[in-house]
Amino acid sequence: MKEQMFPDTPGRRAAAYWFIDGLPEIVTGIGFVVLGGDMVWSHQFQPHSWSVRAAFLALGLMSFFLVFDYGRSFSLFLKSRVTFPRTGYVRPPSDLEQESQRETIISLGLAGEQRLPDQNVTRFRSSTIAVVIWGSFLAGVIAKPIGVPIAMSTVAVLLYTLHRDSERPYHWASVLPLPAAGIGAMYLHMGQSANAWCAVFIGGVWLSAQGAWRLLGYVRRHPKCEPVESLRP
Amino acid sequence: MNQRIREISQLDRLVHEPARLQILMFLQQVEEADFLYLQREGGFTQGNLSGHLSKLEDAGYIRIRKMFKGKMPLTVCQLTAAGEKALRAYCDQMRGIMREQRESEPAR
Repeated sequence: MKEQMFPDTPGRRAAAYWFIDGLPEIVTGIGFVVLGGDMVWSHQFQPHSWSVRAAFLALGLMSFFLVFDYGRSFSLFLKSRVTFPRTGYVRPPSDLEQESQRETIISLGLAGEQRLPDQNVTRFRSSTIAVVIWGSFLAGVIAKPIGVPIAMSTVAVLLYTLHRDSERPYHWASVLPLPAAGIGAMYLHMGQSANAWCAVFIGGVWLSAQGAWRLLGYVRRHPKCEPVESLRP
Repeated sequence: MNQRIREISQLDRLVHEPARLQILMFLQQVEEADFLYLQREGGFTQGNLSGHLSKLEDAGYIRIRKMFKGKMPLTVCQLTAAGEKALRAYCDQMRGIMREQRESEPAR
């Protein structure tokens, strides 16, 4: 576990631990894939039956809530079955946007009091989810097929730079599939709205793939074992 | 100077022990963690961590909740207000002693 967690302070390590198994990315990615795929499909094929439309709308709404509201709870549910039995539980990081700046002493430094804000926080919403959504807006605004590769290239650059010092950094090579997929999508000749949702779909596939790769490595490194904990009765 | 040196003997020994200090500082940052995570994070053995947690719980510095997730026992530890206060007092005390020590060191 430690070999993957580069941050030095316990708070930063706990924040990085939230992403050690890739589950938050898988959950968010699947939400994006369903949302984007659903909308691309309905824009391209425009079903006439009201029941099919209602089903598409319901699926879209469910995936929307999975991404923006229930993603964390669902990740926690999965983690309690996959991660916590293997490497233990620590309080999940709070979103930086909602975090009050709780002051804590974390050092016995001699140069006066060193007070730092809570470090068990994550910017996943603003630096990952928001970036993918922003990319879809960009792809929709550029009303040409070239919009998707431009948007996905921008998303790739933003994802790499915004995460460089975060609790979940991405390797530069890992973001390259995003512009490549954007170029591929350009040749599908979709409409303007479908282009925007296609960007969400590509972002979701990429996030899910990142998470799945992490999960695979995590499960291989930490095979499930019987709990060994015990405490004085 | 002598006063400060004498203060060393007044340090809270419960907090002063490196493993317990590590546990307390760790819990201060993450708010709550379970036995397995603490064990892996601190590199403790099971018995060692269990003993330290028991002492800290007896002193009221941490709160231990034992529960089950399915059939798996889960021991979640949380720093109490008393624990946080003790840790802050210890840090202040140590900081004062070390500052005094640095100031009184002969120039080489």
